[in-house]
Amino acid sequence: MEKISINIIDFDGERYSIKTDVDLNSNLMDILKEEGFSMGHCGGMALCASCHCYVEHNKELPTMSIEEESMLDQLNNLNQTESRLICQIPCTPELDGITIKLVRN
Amino acid sequence: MIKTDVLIIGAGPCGLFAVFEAGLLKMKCHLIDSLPQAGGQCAEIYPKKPIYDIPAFPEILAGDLVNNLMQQIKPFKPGFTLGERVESIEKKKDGSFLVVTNLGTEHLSKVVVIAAGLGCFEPRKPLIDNLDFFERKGVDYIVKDPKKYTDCKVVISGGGDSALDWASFLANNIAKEVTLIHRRDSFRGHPDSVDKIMEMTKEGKVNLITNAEVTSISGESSLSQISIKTENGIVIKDTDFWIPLFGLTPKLGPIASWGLNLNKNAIEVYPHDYSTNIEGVYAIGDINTYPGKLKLILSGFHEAALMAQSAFKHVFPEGKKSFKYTTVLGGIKGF
Ligand SMILES: Cc1cc2nc3c(=O)[nH]c(=O)nc-3n(C[C@H](O)[C@H](O)[C@H](O)COP(=O)(O)OP(=O)(O)OC[C@H]3O[C@@H](n4cnc5c(N)ncnc54)[C@H](O)[C@@H]3O)c2cc1C
Ligand code: FES
Repeated sequence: MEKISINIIDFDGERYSIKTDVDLNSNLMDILKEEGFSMGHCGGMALCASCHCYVEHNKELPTMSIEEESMLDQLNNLNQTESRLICQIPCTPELDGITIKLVRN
Repeated sequence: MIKTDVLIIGAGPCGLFAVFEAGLLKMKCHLIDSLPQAGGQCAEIYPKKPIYDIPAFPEILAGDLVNNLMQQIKPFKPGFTLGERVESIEKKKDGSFLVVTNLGTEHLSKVVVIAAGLGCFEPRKPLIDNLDFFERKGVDYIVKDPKKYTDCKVVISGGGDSALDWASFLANNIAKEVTLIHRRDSFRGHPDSVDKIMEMTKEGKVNLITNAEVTSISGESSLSQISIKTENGIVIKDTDFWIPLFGLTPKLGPIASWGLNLNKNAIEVYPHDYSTNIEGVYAIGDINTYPGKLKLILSGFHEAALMAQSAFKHVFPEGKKSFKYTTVLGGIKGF
């Protein structure tokens, strides 16, 4: 199976990289949850914002749905250019090398 | 002092169903929740979404599930302390528990059941200096009593339904002046709510400032001024209240300091009865963990039933319980 690498910047600013399978049925929230980060309370329905992260837009990302925009609208730590709910980003090959910065929500 | 047999912390679906299972064994229950309404995640996060894995309901809206549970437990007359967060649990010499909320309400019970889900729903607070100082001195995160704002100047921040709805409600003959500040230039709330705000802005009843956010707050003993960063620079505004409405998010909160064995923000329990390391304290639903745990409503319901059977011995040490189907005695009236 094709693999992609994801760079993570954790809460302490520590940078590391993980490799994961390309899988359209799984999203970046699923991957980070498996990594042990507490997120995904709503199961990936853009309803809880527990998966809000800053994503470096050096990669082609899926456009935001109205549900995602409306959830992000409510956040106080919104970063207009980098904030995403990563449960809305499926693990496609295009993400290879993407950088995700964790945010305390 | 509120006295009860079983005190349930958290009025989500699992806490509510625990009232039924305890009621069948003649144990009286009282529920406490930090939210102003019962229903936990189902009521707060997804009331209008259908759930498909509740046994015998091919499809049911989360809000309807809560309404049904409330109806199902009504005959057992549970008590409710809503809008208050449990801060402390103290075990007395006689084995009973004193449970106190943030507002100082005291509860005494023989058994405590923690059904706290993902934790307490708390407001998302803006990242502003001095915010703590002005809390309840001009800064409110929820509107509990709208009359409080009568003839006052109020600034509301947020772009969701609650910001839109409270802005229009308070601007209608309650507050002297209402300003709504939103980070973007478009609103994603319910179209009716958005239309209403736009209409009221045209009529001069609401001051709408978009593409803007509050960057600092100030005042002597209470809030009197806020600074707003807008497209045209900083605007200083006099105000009596600032109500940032950025939604609620669950936080584990005080549970971490109650002496319970925790594992990744969940309470470790013995899976035969969901008891914790403190005798007389149980944990059911999303808040607990044990090998094979599934965070599902259906699992929480099962946990509530086993918990009640075990809690019986603490409530009626001399009592003898016999297991009966609800059908046998002609419904719950027979219990
Ligand atoms: C979008 C979404 C979809 C879901 N879909 C499904 C599904 O299809 N099927 C399914 O089975 N499950 C689903 N779930 C999960 C399900 O909602 C939870 O498993 C369930 O709500 C857990 O119930 P609970 O009673 O344990 O806790 P909760 O519902 O989380 O309620 C806990 C309550 O405790 C209160 N509380 C916590 N600490 C304190 C304190 N210190 N003082 C006072 N009150 C406190 C909280 O305010 C809260 O109201 C879904 C969840 C979400 C968010
Ligand atoms: S997991 Fe809830 S918004 Fe992404």
